Amino acid sequence: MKRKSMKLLMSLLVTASLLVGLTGCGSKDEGTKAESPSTDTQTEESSQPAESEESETEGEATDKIKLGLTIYSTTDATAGPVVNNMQTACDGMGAELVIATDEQNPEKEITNIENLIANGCQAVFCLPYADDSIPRIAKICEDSEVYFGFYWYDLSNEETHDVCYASKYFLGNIYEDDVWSAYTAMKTLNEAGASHIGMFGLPTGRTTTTKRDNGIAQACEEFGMEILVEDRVNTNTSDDAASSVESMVSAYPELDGIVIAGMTQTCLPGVIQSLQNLGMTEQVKVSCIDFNENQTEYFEKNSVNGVIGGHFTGGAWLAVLAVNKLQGTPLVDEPVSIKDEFIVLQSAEDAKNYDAHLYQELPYTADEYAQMSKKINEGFTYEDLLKVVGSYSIEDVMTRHNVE
Amino acid sequence: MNKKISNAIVVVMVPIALYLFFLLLRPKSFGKINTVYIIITQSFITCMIAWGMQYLAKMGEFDLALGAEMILDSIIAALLSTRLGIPGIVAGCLLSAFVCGILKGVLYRVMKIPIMILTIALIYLLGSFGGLITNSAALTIAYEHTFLGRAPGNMIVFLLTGILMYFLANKSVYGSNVNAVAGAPGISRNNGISVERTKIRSLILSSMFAGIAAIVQLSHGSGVTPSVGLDSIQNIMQPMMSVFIGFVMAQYVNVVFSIFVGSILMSIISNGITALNWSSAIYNIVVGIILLLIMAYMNVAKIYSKRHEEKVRAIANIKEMNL
Repeated sequence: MKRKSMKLLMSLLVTASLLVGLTGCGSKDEGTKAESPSTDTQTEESSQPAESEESETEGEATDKIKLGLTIYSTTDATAGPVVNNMQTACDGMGAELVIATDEQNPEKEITNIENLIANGCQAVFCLPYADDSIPRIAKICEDSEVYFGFYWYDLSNEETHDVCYASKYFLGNIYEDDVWSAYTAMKTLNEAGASHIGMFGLPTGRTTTTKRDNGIAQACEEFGMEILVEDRVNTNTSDDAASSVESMVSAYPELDGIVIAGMTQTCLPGVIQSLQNLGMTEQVKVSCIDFNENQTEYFEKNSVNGVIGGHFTGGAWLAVLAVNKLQGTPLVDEPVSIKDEFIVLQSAEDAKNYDAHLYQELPYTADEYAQMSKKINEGFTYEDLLKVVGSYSIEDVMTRHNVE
Repeated sequence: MNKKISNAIVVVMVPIALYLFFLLLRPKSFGKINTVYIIITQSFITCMIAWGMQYLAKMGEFDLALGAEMILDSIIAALLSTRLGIPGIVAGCLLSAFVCGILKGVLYRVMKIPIMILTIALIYLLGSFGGLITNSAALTIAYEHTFLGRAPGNMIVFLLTGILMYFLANKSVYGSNVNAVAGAPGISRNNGISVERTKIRSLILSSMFAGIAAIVQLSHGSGVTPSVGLDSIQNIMQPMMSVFIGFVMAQYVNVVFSIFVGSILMSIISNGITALNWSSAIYNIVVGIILLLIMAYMNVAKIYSKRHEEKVRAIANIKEMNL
């Protein structure tokens, strides 16, 4: 009997641990009010978009506009700021944000969207990991009469573009010029004197990958650079990236530059460590796309020549579009595609300024976001939003926040 | 020729042949002694994980949580390294590995479910635990604490682990028990060997070996990123292949050495694909083809060896009859 009870207890323990594991995937971010969709069963709100004006006060959570975000992580140097900015935008405009993490898994992303909608979100946002996902996402949102939009995503595929723009629930997409980012990363290497390049790339089959590859190819042609070797697999851990660099350097002794066209968050420490072990920090220049937590230190040690990133306000702009739409004061009637700006770091000072004014503090305060709600600031227009988006830079933030 | 030496030659010929294959395709890269050095040192981590895995694998079980455990070990080690330096890395990895091993052992003893199912559940638990500790952020260690990830630190750890593995596999009662259970669990049970206890010990040992590998891995890459979901299984694919190759070769040489050869093969393939700048998608195809070729080669070698023995015996018999 005792043995049976013990078994039952242990079974329950493992089941509970599994549930903790699963819900942990969509865990809360400290400092945000985000809630995991699978654990939040308290608020039961209509999934119908609230076109009419809300009369209730902002303080009551149950009356707030509820937005949903599915993202691969909530805390690393690239995804964390997206979440924090979007949360601040929602706080400023009096909306509630629900976050689910998807680990870049297209199926999980779809499930998250369904969960967010079931959770009462009136608009949901994601980065489609495959073009094939878009018709499914559009259908789910249309069936549920929930608005949707994409961050970090360029609707360059005509088919998916038409699917989205045909939907009356599509708010828009925020995209970056990924050809430019990759081109700039390569240009940085060229300026540092590198021309024989080893490349860490994103997995093939994604729009972002294609664009960054195009940018790299464009730079190669223009500056007479050559990609000697590329690795699209060993980017998920520092150790794998370190081994890959050892192999690259051994196979191509003429290699004098490494470009990381994505996943810098995970692989940059391994790349730097490996070059340090091989005593080749001086000889091999490094440039990358996406920010890393340790980039300031790497700039100070001259281990890295350039980092392009800071493209983390897209979620906030989608929130601005959605809140205005849902409170009955749309900034624009048609779906929109807005180009977000990258930030280029090329020195320790750049990295320190970025860290202090755009990472530790956010580029826009809750008050600034509040002014982007027509309910609060009647005079705010779509053109004003485009102006704000277009002027995004370290200098812009320092000027607005009166930093000398 | 001494049979042991001829057997060893049969096994050693496999990585040499594979190396020559890549040397022919890209002499500029594979013609350097530095490439041999890189191939050998890169195989250390894979080999140490594979050594730990092989006990359970012999008994038909697989511990799929080892990758998640190594990430958790590294996270705890990275956190401890900020206060204690290298001792913190060693203590963090080994302590975490021991706790994980005990946890698996207790759960297996109480629940009596197949190890594969149990460890899949643990992947989620350990992955999320690591994510919660670090708030899903990547952790790095200082360069001065990375001694065990580069020569001679990694070589010392590897050699010590190899010696430990040799004694466990060949000179200990535990090693004999594993062989007995792997051969015939029923007979072993009748002879007083506890199958369950042997598996629990193997679970703990596989964790400890993974913990040692995590020390070198963290020091080599100088960072760790928490992994939720089943992604961490990817970390044990190469060691698993090394175990399979090692088992095929174990009929010729000691399993400790054959698994090392298996790890070197994986490292040669990985380096070869990088050197040739082949698409990463080809990697699995190449691994599959090479595995099949190795098995075919081993079978041919076995048949040849058997025929040769029969021939020698027949000649000896004829000589005896003539006398």
